[in-house]
Amino acid sequence: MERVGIVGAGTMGRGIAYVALTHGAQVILYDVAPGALESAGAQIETWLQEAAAKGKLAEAEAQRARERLFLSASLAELADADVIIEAVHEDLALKQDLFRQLDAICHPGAILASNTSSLSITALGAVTRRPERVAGMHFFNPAPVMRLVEVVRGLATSEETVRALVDLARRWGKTPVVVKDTPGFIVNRVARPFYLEALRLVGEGVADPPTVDRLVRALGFRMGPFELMDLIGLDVNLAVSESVYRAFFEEPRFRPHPLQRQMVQAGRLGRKSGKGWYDYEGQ
Amino acid sequence: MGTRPFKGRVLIVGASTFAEDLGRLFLEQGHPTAVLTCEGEIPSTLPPAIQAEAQSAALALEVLPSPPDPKRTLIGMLDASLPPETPLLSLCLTVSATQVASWTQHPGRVVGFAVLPPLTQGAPVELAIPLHGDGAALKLARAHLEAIGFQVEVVRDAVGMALPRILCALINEAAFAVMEGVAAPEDIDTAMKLGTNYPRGPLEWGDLIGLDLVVAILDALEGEHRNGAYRAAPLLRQMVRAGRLGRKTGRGFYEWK
Repeated sequence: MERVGIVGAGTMGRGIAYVALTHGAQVILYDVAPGALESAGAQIETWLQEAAAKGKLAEAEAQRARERLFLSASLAELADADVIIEAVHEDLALKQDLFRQLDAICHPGAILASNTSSLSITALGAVTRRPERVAGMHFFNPAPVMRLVEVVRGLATSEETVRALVDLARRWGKTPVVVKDTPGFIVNRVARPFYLEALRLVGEGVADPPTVDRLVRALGFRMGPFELMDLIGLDVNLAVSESVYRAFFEEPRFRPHPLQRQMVQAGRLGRKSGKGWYDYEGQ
Repeated sequence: MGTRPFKGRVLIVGASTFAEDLGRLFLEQGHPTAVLTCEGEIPSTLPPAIQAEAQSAALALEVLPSPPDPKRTLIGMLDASLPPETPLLSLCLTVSATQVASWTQHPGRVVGFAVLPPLTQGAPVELAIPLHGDGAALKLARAHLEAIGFQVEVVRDAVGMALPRILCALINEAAFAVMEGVAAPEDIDTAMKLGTNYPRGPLEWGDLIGLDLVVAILDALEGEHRNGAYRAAPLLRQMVRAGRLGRKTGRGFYEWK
């Protein structure tokens, strides 16, 4: 049975924990904040009950999954884990500090993986004595539902580590793709023009957001770029655009659009604020 | 089908990838339709049969995606042969409708349209009128394209209109990622389908549109904007030079049988 340590019990950490638990792994879920651990435990319990009620998971399986989950506020308890998946917020200094500690605590054979969507895996590996065993394992939100996992190969990551994470993702019912450590990996990079080009079109007055969205949906996309920005949050989407733009040293293809910054400045963040490109008040 | 109301004659001239599918759709709707296909080489005059069709056409479509010189010649010939009030729809992927209208004596009849292969029922088509046109033909163009099953949207005239810009920018970014060894082509397409619910992977899409057309659209956009945002991935140019244009040549990013 694989012993998986998950660092950070937020949306991604608890989602990944649920995936691991329901595919036979033993999980130690760590967070500095006891409140986060408690709410993650409750959330995982709800998911297990829902899955059992829908018949997606046998009751006995759900029970075994429950018994394999350990919540911990002590990083030292991750010492025996075979794989660590770090899912704290996107702050390089914070993550590097964590990787230094994990490197000291975990046994030398353990793989240290990060769920980062935007930071350099190479920069995380470099602060450890085992950069060959440091890689990215980028899940998508919501982790229990989305099948994709980007397995990110840092400059020093070994082939063995990449293979181990690819196999792990497959055992967990995911579809892994191997990506070289480059800004935005695949999805957050290749999706940039979907938003940026749409913003340029509106900025130039070629079409308005509803027209662009209708056109894009007519191609078979479930949502147009503006509806999708409203769902993701314009602030979150802008932060990704800015991060990729900076990471590529201001390559013009990735230049963020002033219209989007203006929307964020106005507090029009999308569904979560009641208004974005569309109005959601009263819904 | 004697009860079917009279439908106007339609003339379609241009590249086979567009002309044949559009011709079939107009025929299925009961329009007497004449199609003349030409690729890079444009005849110096319209053949007599096509000339005759032009004189009685209620609607004409010019569908050369690129480059501009043969397109200009063809537009000139059609403009001279068509009755002055007949709308002339021009496929505007690499030029603006304003540019096309500037090549005619009757800018008011010109409507630019943008659509990308594969041309299927329900596919989105964009229409734009030239800056110095009067839009007289727009209503008729829209009605005809909706009647043959396209989803029509009107946009302001600009090179590449909306969807060709979005799609070609996506394909270009995916091609840069392949070139830079970020991931294998299949993995990039898989990631975009599973990670963000795209209906097709961008590289597969490039193969369906034709990588030569993708590069032509990107070059036209870069020529218009001159800001580096549409700089085509060198890998795309190499694939075009090697004849790996996608589905139509049997190989692009994928093998097509």
